[in-house]
Amino acid sequence: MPVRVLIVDDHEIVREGISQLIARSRPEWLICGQASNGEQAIELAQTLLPDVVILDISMPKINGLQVAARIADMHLRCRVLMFTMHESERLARDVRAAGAQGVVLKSQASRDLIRAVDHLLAGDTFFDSSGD
Amino acid sequence: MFPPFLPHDTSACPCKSEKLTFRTIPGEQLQYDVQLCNSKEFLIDVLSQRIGRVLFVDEPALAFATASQWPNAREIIDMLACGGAFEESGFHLPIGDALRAMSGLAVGHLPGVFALGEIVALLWAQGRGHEAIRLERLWNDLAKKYPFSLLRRYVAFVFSNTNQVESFLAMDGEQSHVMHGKPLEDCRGLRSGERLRAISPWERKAVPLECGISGEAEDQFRLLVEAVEDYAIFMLDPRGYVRTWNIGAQRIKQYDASEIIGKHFSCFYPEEDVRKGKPEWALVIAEKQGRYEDEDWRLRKDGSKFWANVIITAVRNRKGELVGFGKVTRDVTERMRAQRKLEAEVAERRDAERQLHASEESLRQLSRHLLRTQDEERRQIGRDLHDSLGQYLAVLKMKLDSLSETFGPREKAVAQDLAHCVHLTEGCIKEVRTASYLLYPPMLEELGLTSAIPWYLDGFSSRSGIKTTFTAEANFGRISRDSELALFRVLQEGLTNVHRHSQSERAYVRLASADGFCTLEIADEGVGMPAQLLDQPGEEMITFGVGLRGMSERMRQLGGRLEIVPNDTGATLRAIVPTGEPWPPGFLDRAAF
Repeated sequence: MPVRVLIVDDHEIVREGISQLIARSRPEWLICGQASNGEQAIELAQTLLPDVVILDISMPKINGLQVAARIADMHLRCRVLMFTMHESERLARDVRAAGAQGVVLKSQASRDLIRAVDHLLAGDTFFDSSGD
Repeated sequence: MFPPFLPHDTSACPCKSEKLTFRTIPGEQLQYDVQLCNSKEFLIDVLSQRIGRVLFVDEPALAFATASQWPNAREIIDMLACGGAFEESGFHLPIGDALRAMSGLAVGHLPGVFALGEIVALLWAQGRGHEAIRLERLWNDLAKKYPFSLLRRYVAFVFSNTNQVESFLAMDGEQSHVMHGKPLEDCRGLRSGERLRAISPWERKAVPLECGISGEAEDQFRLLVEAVEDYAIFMLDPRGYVRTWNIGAQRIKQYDASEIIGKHFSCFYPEEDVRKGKPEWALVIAEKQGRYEDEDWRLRKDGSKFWANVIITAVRNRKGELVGFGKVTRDVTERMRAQRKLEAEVAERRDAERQLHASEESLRQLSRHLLRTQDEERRQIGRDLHDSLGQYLAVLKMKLDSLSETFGPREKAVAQDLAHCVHLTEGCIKEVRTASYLLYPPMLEELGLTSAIPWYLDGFSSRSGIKTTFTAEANFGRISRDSELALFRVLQEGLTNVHRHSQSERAYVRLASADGFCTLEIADEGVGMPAQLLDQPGEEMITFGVGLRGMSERMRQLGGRLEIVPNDTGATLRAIVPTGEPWPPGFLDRAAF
């Protein structure tokens, strides 16, 4: 069974960037779906049952942290990796509180994204780019 | 100044007194107060009774007179002049006080003032003509200021021989409180003609008064009344026909005595008043109540109107039969105009104040609007920078990283260029992020103050070199969006202020909430801040667009306040706002913070 990844970001270009990054580094993974807003993300998480959700924080209406909290409430087996422009020490705390297992800065995507997903799939968390 | 006013002090014996005294003389039908001076009391008593009986029945009176004794006369003159030239303040204040006190004694009556006029005559005789005129004017001005009836300019020296005095005194009979004063002898050397010439305006032909006074006394009284210029004083017969006329009446109403005597007094009333029967009604009231007072328009001979204060007094003989009416009319048009002008000015000023308030309010509204617009615009620009440009740059960097991975190992030159591009892109991302966060931190909206403040403090510390410490209550959650944004702006303003003005090396930021309000404090260890910074606009303080004053206004709008309080080491800026409805609604529950 390939790893199933759901990508959630309100910018198409970002979703595409992530897809390409995954396609190049981990061609065996399957992008099972893409969502451009929070509501859609929650729906697809329920129906597609991905292994990992890569979730943007800044989105209109329902933001990424809210989506993470809802997914955590649904007790699905998927792991949630927050993907954000924000850079703050406190962010990790907020992300944990929302029930997600890791956070990656968009500017460090090439370096950290695949590593972070690997961590999460292995049952670890990823909150520090130095390797947690 | 004048001696204290001693109403109804009958114990004072005027003949012995060398100073002004005050006493009450109870008469048969009248009671009035006479202020007497030195040694000619008897004269004043008699005349005051006469005048009072004819024109001011039952009214209190204030009388002034001087004797011909030069030292005493000077004393009185000096007293009135208050040690200098006749000045309004020195003259009007004490007499005004006396008049007010008398008004209190005679509710519903005007006090009568009788200035028996040797003072003016003596001044004249001393060659102080301008002061005499000044004194006359002061009396006139006084009459415009206070509601009283003024009779003045009595020529005391017409009584300068004993025979005249004796016959005059005889008329008064047992009712008088006559004291024979010494000064009479002193007057003998002076001829009345000289005195009269010195005060020639008083030499007027008199119209006989039919009021029970006869003989020489009648002449003197007539002289007195008819010489009055500022008041129209005249008699009406019981039906309202004019019987006597004086200079004042001629001056105010423009009729000569020969034209008006025998005419009905209704010709002084405007036509509509005559139609309504006002003149007749006035006489009915005066007859029944003894007195009628009115302030209204009256007509001059040429048909022009003047604003008149009119007092009509019923005059009765000793048997109590109505013999006519005394009518005293003052032209108070100027006073009325001055009053109306004053009222208009007051109204105008109120109007101006209202306009000022309105423009202040509209400025306040404008400032609110500007603040809101500014916030919205910043938010929009910040969002745009973060959401579009930021995302593009992030993806651009991803692609560049990918290209580096692909080509870097093969071509060294390309790898170097790509590394440079990655470096530049990282710089762009950083700049965009800083700019967008300064304008409007998306973190504030998504994570609230407890996340946004530490992030901002990190940036502030690295930019300014000021060390910051942040403490927040453990359970501090989300508050309303407006309050969050307002507190964040206060933080920005406050820290900018600390950086620019306090010279402090540290800043302490504290966030707490209690009882529906949350408090943000920014404390420094600097030189302190004057509290008026919050109220005074000043370029100095306008740092992040609208300055602390703008912040203060914003706090007020939200129902909170901004304070500057000194602390042990510097100053603390404290913002307090209502917690409000958390934003976005319901977020806290789901997010399970």
